Amino acid sequence: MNFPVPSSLAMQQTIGLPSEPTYIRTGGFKAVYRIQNREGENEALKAVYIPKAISDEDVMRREQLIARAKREIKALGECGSPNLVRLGTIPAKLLCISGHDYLVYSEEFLPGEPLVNWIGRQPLPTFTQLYNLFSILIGLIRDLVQIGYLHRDINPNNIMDTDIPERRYVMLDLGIAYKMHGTQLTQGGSPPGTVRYMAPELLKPDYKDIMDFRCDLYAAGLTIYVLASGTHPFAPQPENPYATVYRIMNTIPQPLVSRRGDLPTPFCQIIDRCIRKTPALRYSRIELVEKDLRRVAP
Amino acid sequence: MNILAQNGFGPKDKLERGLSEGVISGVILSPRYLSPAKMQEYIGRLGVGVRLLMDPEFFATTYIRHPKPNLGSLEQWEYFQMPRRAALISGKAIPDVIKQSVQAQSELGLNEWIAPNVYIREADSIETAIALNFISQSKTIASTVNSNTPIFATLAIDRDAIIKDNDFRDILDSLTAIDNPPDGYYVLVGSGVARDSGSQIRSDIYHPQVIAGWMYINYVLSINGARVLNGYSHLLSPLLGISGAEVCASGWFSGLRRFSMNKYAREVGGGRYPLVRYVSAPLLSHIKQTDFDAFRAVVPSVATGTSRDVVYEGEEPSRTEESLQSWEALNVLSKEFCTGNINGDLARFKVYIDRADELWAELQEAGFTQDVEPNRERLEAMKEGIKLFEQWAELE
Repeated sequence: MNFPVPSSLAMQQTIGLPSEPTYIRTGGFKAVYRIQNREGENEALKAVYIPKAISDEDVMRREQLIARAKREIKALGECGSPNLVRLGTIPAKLLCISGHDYLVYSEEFLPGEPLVNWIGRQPLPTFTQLYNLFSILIGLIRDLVQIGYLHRDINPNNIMDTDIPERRYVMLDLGIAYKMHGTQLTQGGSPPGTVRYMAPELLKPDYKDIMDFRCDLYAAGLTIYVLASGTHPFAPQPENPYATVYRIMNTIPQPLVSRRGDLPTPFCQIIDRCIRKTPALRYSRIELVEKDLRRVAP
Repeated sequence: MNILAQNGFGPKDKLERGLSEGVISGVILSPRYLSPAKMQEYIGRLGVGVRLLMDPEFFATTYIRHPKPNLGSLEQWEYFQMPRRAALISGKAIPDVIKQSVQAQSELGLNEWIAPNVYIREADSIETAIALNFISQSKTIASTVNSNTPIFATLAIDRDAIIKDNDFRDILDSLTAIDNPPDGYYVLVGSGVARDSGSQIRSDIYHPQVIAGWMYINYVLSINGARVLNGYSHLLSPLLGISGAEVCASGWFSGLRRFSMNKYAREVGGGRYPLVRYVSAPLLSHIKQTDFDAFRAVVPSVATGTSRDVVYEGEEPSRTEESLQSWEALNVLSKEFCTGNINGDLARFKVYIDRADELWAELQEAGFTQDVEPNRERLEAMKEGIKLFEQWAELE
């Protein structure tokens, strides 16, 4: 996604930071920097680009981005899960930086690495690692459901393997969290999110009417499947996204146990069930997943 | 999986003997055949500890204004009143309908209740929305009468609604997303226009998509923790049991072996008294007693092989013996194939269908040509139905 990324110096000057932030990465319409707060602790500073409104379409897009970012921040504040990144000391505010508008706010800075780095690494993750990670993701989905949110972008890029023992895996991004009973903010066309981890129902034109927490369950299951097997069942290598979409809709992945014979079969069956194409075939209630998970605890 | 009797007209001693001889595990009572007072008496007669449920048959209220209704005792039940359609669509009438129906079952002392519902004729229809509303409120409303009594929501759906498969499967997606789900479901799959119920012709129910759909309902609901009772399932019972059913029910007349809304309207002309039949498990068919006699003389393995086969030797068995044999054969199939290992059970059942097909071929070679083709077509429909179900359930 192309947008003007503010320089670190411009960020420092506009916000009035004591030192220049360190640019980390760009994702979607968002640039991320590392800063130090007044206590000397690291925080992740986020600048969400807000395009100028010229045409009617731009007005809509601008409104959408502002609302999306506000929603993320609201969700972060409402969700008490330790496995969701926490807000930092800079509250959300709309700023003009180098002639462009950005919504700026900060989150805690988490040491560690994103789980995407695990993919293909040897040795493959152990059962205990996968079990703990999946349990945390399920707990997070449950916490989000309780406050009326769907995450819609659970994937290994968005999960940090931290160095904090009591918060080993933390979800970074709620950028497209969808307030289930609120306004539908996504414009027509394809839904936001990472296509490779998107549940089949989200790829249908009427996805807004049919999605529920089971799309997050799918993404959590697929994340585990990919980490456990080392490959993505629908996108084994970089390719045209339409081919990936076709596979998401039509290809039934091999049972996980056939890829990882060392994992307990009941655990693999839970993951296989979560990534079924039809929502009705997944778990209809979080308690049912949790119950099955307890039965296979290491 | 347990086999229950689907109660209807003229039970005589069928239920008592079925229960005492262990070929049925309970009864689904019909208020169409039993007035409130008779139902109370009946429940007392069948005894304490017997699993008894009552199908409220609320969906038949649409026949109240039919020019030739055939509702039996239903109109003697207080809950059996058709609310204004607008009140059903808005949902305003639904809590009262559920409460009255459940209250009636509570007063009868039943330990499990079946919640009322409307009949889904088309998947993409206002009836579907109303039916989902009934289902989503069943548990909440029933809990106001007694929160400890298990409640089974009725899911009564026409085969035509199942055949429209995408919309049908969307119903299941919605159903499994209900916030306060019932403890289970009472599932009825109705045939469209009823055909000659006594014949062995391929019926509306023996359609691959309908079989697959009925199995899919059982599978989806059971894997999500719901208990599934199927009414009028007869020879499809083993397939439903393999897919996750807790209970299947069947009765002694064809109208109790296959569900059709047509029974709530008076038929034109009279029916004939049905011939005595025999459930041949190996043939997967409900054949005429006379055919059974002839078949087994040539191909002995068509017999189900229970001790009750003896009563078919010599004189025509009584109607009670006929019913007991039918339930016993369903139990034989259920015990053989419903082990809880769905992939293994389906694989074995497919082999069993192939064997049944071979038996029909043997009979054909022996000169018994009548009814062979419809039966083989029905077996083919079962096989296709299983295949389609495996695809829908992502079991491959």
